[in-house]
Amino acid sequence: MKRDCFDTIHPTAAIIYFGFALAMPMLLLHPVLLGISFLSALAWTVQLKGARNAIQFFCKFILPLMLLTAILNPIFNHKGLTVLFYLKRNPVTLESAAYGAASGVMLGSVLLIFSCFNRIITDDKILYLFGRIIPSLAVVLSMALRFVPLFITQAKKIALAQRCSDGDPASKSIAKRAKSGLFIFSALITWALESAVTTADSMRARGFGLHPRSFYTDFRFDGRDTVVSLFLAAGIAVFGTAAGCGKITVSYFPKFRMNHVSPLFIAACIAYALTLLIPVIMNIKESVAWHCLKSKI
Amino acid sequence: MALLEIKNLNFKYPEAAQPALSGINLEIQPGEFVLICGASGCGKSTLLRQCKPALSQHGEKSGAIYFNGKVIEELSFREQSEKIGFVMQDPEMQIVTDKVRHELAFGLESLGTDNRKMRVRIAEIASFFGIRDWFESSVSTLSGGQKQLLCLAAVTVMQPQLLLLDEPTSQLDPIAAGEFFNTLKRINSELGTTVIITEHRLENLFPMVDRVVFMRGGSIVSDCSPADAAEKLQGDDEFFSVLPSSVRIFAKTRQNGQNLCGAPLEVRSARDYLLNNFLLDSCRYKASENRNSVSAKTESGQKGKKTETIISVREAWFRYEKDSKDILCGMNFDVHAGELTCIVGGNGAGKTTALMTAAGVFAPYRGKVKYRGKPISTFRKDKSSAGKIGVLVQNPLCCFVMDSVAEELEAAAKAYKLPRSGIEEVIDIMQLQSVLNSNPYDISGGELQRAAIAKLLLSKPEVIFLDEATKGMDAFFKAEFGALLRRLAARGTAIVLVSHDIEFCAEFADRCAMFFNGTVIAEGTPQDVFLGNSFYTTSACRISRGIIPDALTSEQIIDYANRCERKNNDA
Repeated sequence: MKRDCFDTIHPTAAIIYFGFALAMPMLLLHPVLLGISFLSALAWTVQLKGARNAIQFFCKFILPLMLLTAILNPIFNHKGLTVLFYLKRNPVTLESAAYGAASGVMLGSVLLIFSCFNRIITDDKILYLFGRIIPSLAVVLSMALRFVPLFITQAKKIALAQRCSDGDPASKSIAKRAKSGLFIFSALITWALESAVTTADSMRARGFGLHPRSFYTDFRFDGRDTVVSLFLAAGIAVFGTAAGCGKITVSYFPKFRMNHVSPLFIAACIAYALTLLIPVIMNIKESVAWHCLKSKI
Repeated sequence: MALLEIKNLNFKYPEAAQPALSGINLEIQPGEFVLICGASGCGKSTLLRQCKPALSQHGEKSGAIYFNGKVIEELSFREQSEKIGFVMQDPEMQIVTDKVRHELAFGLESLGTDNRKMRVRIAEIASFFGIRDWFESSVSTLSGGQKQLLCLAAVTVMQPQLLLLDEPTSQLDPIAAGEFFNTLKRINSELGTTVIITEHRLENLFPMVDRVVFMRGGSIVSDCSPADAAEKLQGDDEFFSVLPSSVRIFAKTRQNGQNLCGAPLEVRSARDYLLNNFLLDSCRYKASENRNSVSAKTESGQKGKKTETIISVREAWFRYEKDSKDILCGMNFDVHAGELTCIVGGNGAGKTTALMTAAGVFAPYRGKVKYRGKPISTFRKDKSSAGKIGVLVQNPLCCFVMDSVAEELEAAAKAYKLPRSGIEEVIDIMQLQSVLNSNPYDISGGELQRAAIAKLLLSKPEVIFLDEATKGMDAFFKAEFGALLRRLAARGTAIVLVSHDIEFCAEFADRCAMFFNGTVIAEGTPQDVFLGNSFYTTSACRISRGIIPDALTSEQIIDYANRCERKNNDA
């Protein structure tokens, strides 16, 4: 897996970034902002996955979904004043086509950002974010994360045992296969209940239930996190001001209308772009630094 | 003042006829390393749990346990969590969280330790245990040995004064167990932590511990230093048989009147003892005569071999996925009627895969597996042959779903359409009368193993494959189990057993196959396979290497030494 600078950023800063980046395109279907969202998300995806994987991922999953949304919307949504043509006596309008295109881009950028989210916000960080608030919830989450692979391993063991005594399941009738599936399930549940007793003992032996419970974490909020957070806050503030002043508006129906290009709007766009590009900028900065270090040697 | 003082402790489980503990008196000094040993069900686990009130069972109790002079029940939950650590048998179930570092932090989090302090403690313990390499890992990627080390580390990180360990290595292979013991010894000697451990692997632990407590039927039989154990247990055949080879050799070859104290505990000192006390060249009888019970048994096995080969594996290659590594690389292996074959080999060498392939559960992608000359795949599909090959996986619990052993056997008999008399016959053979109505989860490992084999025997199999059947089995039951397998083999059943336990294989097998890197690299009688090895062999063989020819068991060494002239050490 490729290294990423944003991976080492404090979870709180990271979650604010993702919250902002995921919510904005969905709330404001503004064409300019959508374009910025989409391009910056794409840029980061390329950095995270490498150009080849990113393009593959984009073409295989994201692009078809985007096109589908863009095409389906004008076919089923007949609102809007500018009729382009009629499809079986149903009007296909320009506004609806524009809305479809915007939704497609919105979906694409949200999916791209989510794929980055998946890669950056690991289980550990989710645990940390919850654990800060309710430590015992973090324990429950962590146990659940442990239990899933454990359950699967045990199911495999039981299935093997079953296969040893009954022969290959592939060569059996559906009724027999269902029966052996039931057997595996039943054995698995018994095992889970029994093992829970041991786990409970092990927890009690280490003082589980004492109050107050603290929470262990390796994450530290350092200088870099402060800088990133300030950047984030500044970007969000500028953007928020512009939005609050009604400088960022768009409506698609009945006729497409967008806000006028004002200085505050331009500032908001720049702030928006810079905020979303924080991970990309950080990665570029770091690779430049590495390049310089290398050439000095 | 003693750290732990047990005074006249009696304990009885509710509705039990016999007390689980009776009249236990024990005093443990700070910094002591104490081993408690005894057969399954002798009360050693009960005793350990009584020393940790959070885990004590309910029942009638009398007498008292003092921890640092304080009645143990009066310790607060916080105090006992912090000061008394407990490690159980199964590493898999003990681990609570998903990541190694979360697990290490678990106890400290319970105590409410602040983050800065926790970080230091965890860093310390990770370095001490050498787990920095897998510190960031998910628990599910660790090996069994690493998991148990993690459990130990997760308890040690709380800086307990007393560590209680209940058969911590029963699920581990010998190498992982050795590593675990070494770490434990370091905790004891470098941190001064008091350790009480119950264990079956005395060979490893004897040189490490300060005291050995032998228990039987809920009371203490003997409490002495390991070097004195042989002296104290004179005449107690049951305990004597489980002592390490070196101690047994010493006890059986000593001169009359010579005090037993100071028995050698390690291979090196046992060799010194033999060399210093005997003129080992003086033994006049030939080396070939030094093959007693083992070789006699082998010869009978070889006669059987000539008669019938049941399963033959020829140049089998196997891997789990198309792009993964080969697990079997051209393995050749035969299974003969009436023969007990053991497959030995290191961890992850692919022994289980080899077993499953020979049993026809896995199909090789190259090479052939034949059952009496026919391809095994067609044989397994054939309905009339159902149950002719019995396979038992590593954890027998995986094949039980019913509420009792009896129901389980009946269900299996129904599946094979067998009469009830068949059930009674296997119950007799496997001596299951006492556990018939128990839940499979409540009976001991040995009983479980027997019940699982009974289930296999219902269909009168010609071959039985057993994966790691001796794992977690106590030394007392192991001998019984070996005899049981020999009885089955004598009835004509072929048995293939995968095992880590070389002592067991050397004693009971007709044939051993050493498995390494995808193939059987050595095959033959235990003598042929193990005598040449210097590391992968029995401890008796390591003791006798180069000084006594062809000795694989301690009985052979004893026999040989007693025929030699003694050196006159007084001169």
